[in-house]
Amino acid sequence: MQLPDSYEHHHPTKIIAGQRAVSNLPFEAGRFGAKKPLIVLDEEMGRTGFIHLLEQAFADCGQKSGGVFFSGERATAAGAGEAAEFFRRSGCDCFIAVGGGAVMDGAKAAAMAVALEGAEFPSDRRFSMKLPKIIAVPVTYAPGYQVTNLAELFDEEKNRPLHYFSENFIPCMAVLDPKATLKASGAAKAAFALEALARGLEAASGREANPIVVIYAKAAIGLVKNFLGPALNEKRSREADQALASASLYAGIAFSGCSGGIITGAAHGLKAVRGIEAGMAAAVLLTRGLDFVAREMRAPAAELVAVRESLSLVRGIPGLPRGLREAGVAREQLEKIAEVAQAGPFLPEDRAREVFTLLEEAF
Amino acid sequence: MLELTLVEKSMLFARGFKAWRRIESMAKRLYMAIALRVFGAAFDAVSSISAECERELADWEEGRRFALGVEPKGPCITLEKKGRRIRMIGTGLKDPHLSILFKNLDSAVMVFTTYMGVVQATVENRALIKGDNGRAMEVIRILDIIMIYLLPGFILKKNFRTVPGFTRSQYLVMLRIYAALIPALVRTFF
Repeated sequence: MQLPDSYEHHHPTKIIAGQRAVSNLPFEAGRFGAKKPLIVLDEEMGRTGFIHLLEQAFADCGQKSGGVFFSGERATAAGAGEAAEFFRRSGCDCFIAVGGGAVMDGAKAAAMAVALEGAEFPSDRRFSMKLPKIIAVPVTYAPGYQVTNLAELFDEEKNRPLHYFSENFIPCMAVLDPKATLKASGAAKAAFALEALARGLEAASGREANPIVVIYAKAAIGLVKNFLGPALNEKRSREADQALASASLYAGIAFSGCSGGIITGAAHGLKAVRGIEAGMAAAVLLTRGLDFVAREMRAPAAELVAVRESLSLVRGIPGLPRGLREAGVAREQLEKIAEVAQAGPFLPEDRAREVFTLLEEAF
Repeated sequence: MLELTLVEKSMLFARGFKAWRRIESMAKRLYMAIALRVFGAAFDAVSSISAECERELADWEEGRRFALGVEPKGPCITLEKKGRRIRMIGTGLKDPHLSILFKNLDSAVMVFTTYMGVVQATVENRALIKGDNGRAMEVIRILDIIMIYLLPGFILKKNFRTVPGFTRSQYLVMLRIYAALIPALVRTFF
């Protein structure tokens, strides 16, 4: 590990993980001054009944939540406005986002709408206004960028995603409870784990990687290496599920400390052009394009070995595309995908050529 | 769908009803109120008999008070060092020098149903310590001694990394503690 000449690191998320971590949420939220949260979740999570666990935790403390808001499949300005109105009307003081990336984006967008007090969403990507506190309850299998400084809002008029960055998007707390584990197929588990690997690898080999980012990234890669096998092979392994959820969280934290990378950039392009989920896209890109990625990113050798070991575990899993062609991408679309990736928020330098080569390798 | 066992699924279903949530909270509070009183009595019984406890208490000043309970506004007891023993002086916080309060009912119930050791709960940050940390560790060590004398071996094996082997004289101490616990319980509850 090298020490950079100068670096800055800020990641204020308190992590509460383990058995009955959700029971601890009301007390810990109170320490942040949050007494009446608005719980944001999607329809699927609503059907699981997980919300009752949260409500029980609040009942045990003699408190009540401010209510439940169901976010849509993607965060939009209109949805955020509705949530903000509900938040104000109910006298809430913080958001609890239960679920995956879309829910987290929904909560972040709603927090922005609360701060904007009815004003339009700004065109500036950097959002500096003070926001209500956000608490993340990631549900495995959910992507790890929930704890990042990034929020994705879908612009319905222009039919494209908008990305906002703010230190205030980073949740004050992330709660990982083994009971918040969704049943998932082998392909979904693999995609989830490989996305954490991709983010960890990019964070560890990024130019701006500082020692703290590297520690989180290496921890994420190590956990995936050790627990992906049990998660795939055992019918129910709470330890493995919890480890993968932690890996995803650590990868998200590490990724917050770097400006992006070609895998995340290309995955963003694939999502925007072909609607392939970021996790699945990262999984395909990493599986087929690791050699190129390794050369390009100059990733640490030990981590590359761990990534290769993890990749050998997912080979041949039904439902996991072996290449972009199998995922429904046409060769003619690769250039467009690379262009969109370059225009996205994950590639601060001109890397369109490298993204295109990666896409070709993964085709 | 969540990956839950059948029991967990049933509990989750029941918690969907507001009345159930209220009953469950009340049941946990009641259980903790009783468990804390039992432990209050156990402090009395063990501190008066166990040599390990006596050694731990040797440096304690007379009248040192500490509280054990659950945050927020949960059941709580206050204990005090009186002579060579620790006596429960009542429920609630009564000007303790130190308080060890579990952050939620679930964590407290896990410890007081012996699902988790008190040391494990402390290292997992499940309890909030208000006061001197060194003194808190002394109380936790005494709680540990109480658990060792009161709980059966198979639970100790689950909760303690190394289960202490008992000598014949320690088994006699254990019997004396059980005998002393009965009047202590009577004093605590009536």
